[in-house]
Amino acid sequence: MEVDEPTLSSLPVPDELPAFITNVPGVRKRSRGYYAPPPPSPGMSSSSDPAYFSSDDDPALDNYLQGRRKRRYVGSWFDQVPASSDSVMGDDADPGPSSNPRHKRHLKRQPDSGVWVGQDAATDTDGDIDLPPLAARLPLPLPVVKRIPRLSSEEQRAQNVVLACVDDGREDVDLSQMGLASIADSVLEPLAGLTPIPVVEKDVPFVPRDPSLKLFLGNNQLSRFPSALLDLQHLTVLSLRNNKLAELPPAIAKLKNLTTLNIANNRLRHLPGELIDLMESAIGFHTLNIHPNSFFQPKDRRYFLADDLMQHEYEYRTRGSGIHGFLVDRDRGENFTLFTTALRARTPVQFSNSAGHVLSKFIFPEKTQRLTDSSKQLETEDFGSLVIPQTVKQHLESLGDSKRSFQPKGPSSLLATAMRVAARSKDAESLPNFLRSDGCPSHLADPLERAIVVDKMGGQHCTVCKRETLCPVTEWIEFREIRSTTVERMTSAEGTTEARIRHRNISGREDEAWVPFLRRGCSWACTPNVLDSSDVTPHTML
Amino acid sequence: MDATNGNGGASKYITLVSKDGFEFVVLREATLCSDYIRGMLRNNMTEARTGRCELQDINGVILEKVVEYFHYWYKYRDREDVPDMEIPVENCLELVVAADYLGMDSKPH
Repeated sequence: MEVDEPTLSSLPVPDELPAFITNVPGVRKRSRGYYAPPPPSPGMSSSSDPAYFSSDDDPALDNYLQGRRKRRYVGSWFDQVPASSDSVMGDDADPGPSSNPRHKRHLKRQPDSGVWVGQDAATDTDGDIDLPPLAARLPLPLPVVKRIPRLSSEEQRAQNVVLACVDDGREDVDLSQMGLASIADSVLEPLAGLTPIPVVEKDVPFVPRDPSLKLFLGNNQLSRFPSALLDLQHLTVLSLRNNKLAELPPAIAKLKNLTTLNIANNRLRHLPGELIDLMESAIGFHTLNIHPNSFFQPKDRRYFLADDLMQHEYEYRTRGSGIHGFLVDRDRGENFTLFTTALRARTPVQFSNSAGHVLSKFIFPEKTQRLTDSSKQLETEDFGSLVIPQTVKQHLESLGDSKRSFQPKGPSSLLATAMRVAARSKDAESLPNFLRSDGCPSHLADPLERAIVVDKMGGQHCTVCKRETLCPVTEWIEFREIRSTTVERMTSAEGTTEARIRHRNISGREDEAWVPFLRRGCSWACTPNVLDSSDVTPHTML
Repeated sequence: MDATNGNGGASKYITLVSKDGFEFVVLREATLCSDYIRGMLRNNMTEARTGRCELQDINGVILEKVVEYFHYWYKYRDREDVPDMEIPVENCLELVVAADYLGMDSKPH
């Protein structure tokens, strides 16, 4: 046979109908004879259609006993002799039987090997589509074997404490003074499942209650905020006093049930702007300890807003909401404390691109740089002005959109979008190293690494347009005074209710009074509001 | 490709050619969000006349995604409710590189 491999012997068209078909009237059998396909052309020889190979699926197979002579096939497909030498069967297969289609049939049932069962997959022609070979692309990451994080002995002790608390339903988890330099997510995660022991008393219906978790992590060496804390919705007291934290994640605002936050004595340079929202809106938030820390300070304390109305205007257009506090009508019970912030100053805006290259003259000190008394002093900018770097200005003009709007529109940039997908991918940790390899733009590795950390810490949002942004391009700091107002309602002997209201600043010291809050924007149009004193129109207080 | 606007007879569309020879015809205005292509189309460069930009460093699969972004950007550039664009994870790193190359960085939208 001269057919190209991997053909098998071609099948003859039956020249007569099998006897039983005509002999058994009324029984309609499928029979190959009526519609015998033409013998496969050499080009079709790779078809795996079993009818050409195997006798086993002959529709008349169950008629062995009637003595039908099976003329078309001998043996099952693996007894067929491949035409070419490099077939699976090799050369040693006996070409005899199949070369002669008229060979006398042995009435021996060949067990089907089942090889042809998966026909659908076997006959697909995906591989046949002619595509040019794909061009070389970036090297694919080698499969990274995930290391199972090994807990340090301190973490193990912490884990034991946590597990004991979960077992006993104790809500006070004391992990202070354990020498923790870091704390793995797996240690804190069980706390999310902590169920307190409900109060069971006579005549009181059983009501499961939400836990009010108190977590004490003071006096450790933590340098990073443990990201697992952000998932503990029922956290009410969090103490991270006396650690080495350099930054608080913006996602801390997710802890809506927080009443007490102690972050004194860390290495914080600023607080996330989202903490303002948390303080002002969380019901029951009453204690905040933030001093001492190495906070940024304004170089001079000149720029004052004339009144609350100006601040309201600023907040309203920058944040989309006005001053909180009393304005929010909410049942806070008889006695409550609430926090308000008074805007005092703002730094210029640091403009950069998504890759982290700073374009503006104003630039924040590097995170790794040690702050001295002079370098932690930041310049401030008038609320009525905004310094925009030349490149950014040109850009706005080239787009014919020199008028800045405070309602940014349009999609986020492709770089930022792709970066976000990369930071969320399964083995994101290995990606920056690929960008550092030869021939790749290594300047993208650091921004990507930052984006991964930000994403792990719960993500962050643009102050102005509220969109998620892992690589902010505008950043500025607002200095605010934090004031707490305590309201105590008392019923006097005469039956009248009187409320005692006490205001106080969170710190009495002048150098601690102005607290820096970091703000960020996802596009160059997302900048703080520039107040125009002639433009201020009185807003009705809600 | 013969469609012209009043702007010096330039076509409304341009053709982007990938490294492996795939060609994409894109609205000229939609490519404005790329600094690189905008630069190519300005300054009396050859590309500005022919309307054909050969991108030697980007292969077809990635360029297709970039072109998708061009149209996505063009469609939503003036809108505030913008849906997210789907980016397959396997392409994200190359897209980061391509976006950086094409200067498709954060802009005032």
